[in-house]
Amino acid sequence: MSNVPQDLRYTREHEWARLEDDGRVTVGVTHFAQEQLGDVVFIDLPEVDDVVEGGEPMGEVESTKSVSDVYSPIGGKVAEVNAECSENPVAINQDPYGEGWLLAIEPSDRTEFDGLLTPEEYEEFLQEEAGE
Amino acid sequence: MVVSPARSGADNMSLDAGMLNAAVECRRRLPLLRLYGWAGPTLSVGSNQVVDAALRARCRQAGVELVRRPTGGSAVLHGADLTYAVAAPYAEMAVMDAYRWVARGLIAGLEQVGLRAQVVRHRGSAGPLLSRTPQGSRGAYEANRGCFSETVGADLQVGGRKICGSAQKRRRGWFLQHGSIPLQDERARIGELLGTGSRDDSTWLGALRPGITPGELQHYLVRGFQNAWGDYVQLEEGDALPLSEIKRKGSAKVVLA
Repeated sequence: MSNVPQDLRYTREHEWARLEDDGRVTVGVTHFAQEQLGDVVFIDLPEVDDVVEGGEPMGEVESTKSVSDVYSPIGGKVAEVNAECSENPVAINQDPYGEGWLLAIEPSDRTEFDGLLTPEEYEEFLQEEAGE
Repeated sequence: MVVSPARSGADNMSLDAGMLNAAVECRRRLPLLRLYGWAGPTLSVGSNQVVDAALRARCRQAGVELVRRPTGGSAVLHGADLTYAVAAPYAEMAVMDAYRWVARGLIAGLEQVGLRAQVVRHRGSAGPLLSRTPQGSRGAYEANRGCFSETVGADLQVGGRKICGSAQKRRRGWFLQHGSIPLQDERARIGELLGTGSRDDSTWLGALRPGITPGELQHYLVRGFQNAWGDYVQLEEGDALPLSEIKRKGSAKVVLA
């Protein structure tokens, strides 16, 4: 059973998003995604002040045997990048919802966040994927 | 399934990127498989591998085309090998599951040649891989890292020696997987290109089946994939997307030197 925290929103590309008190949205990849990928060895992310578009690729995660696109859950400007995770990408495997966060975005449209999958919807999506 | 003629490195990588894009856009459930050769010696580096000026210079001097794969991993020398590319949906298949699924076709193909190949069990992380160039740009692998110089989980071995190295890219529910089976001993040559000068412990098909041609290997691999995947596999007619369409969807950002 995959680990799907109830206080986050999700994408069909297996990213999570958390709306912070200051309005920024923190983004990472889900427990399910890191399990599928295996040991992460490298992440390639946009830089602070770069503009990202919701649903579009914003970087890559490379594990020992695969490279995967990472999609931005929402559009906006990159406010912060987790430099410690870039230096120690295995944090994505060890703590995907904590130390393994990727970046924070200042959303251009806050309502975009509400359109992301709820935990229940993401769990249903995972079950559909497994059933295909 | 497409059995392609030999093409340049740029064309081959563009076609493979296009195969993945086409499969994603069409939400294609059947796998696409391409078996192909290279028009000339080509060094392909991984999607996030560092490429430095020294590597570019050595390739240029040796007349070796340098391209970047859409897939991950480290450098492979092509020209005296046969390469495969598979684009397929991964659904619930984790990375290693997908490798094992593709390996069924490769193992069945090598069986046709009388070789018993095995998937290497995962040995965990290949160690710290992060690399920085003097200019500060970063990559997953250093410029001198060669695919055949190490054996990690999902590689294929014959007699305990690596015979096929593979790499993967995942996008929106589909994956592209590349792999290379050397027919000749190119270990010294890639050692020179990468500046390591070393010979790795991998093997090559010609050592195990002297005289086998790329065409013969293609033929056996086609049969292997047909045996392993059954009805999934048809030859080009009626199944594969037209190559022109795949090429149109390809990425042009593959040529490095």
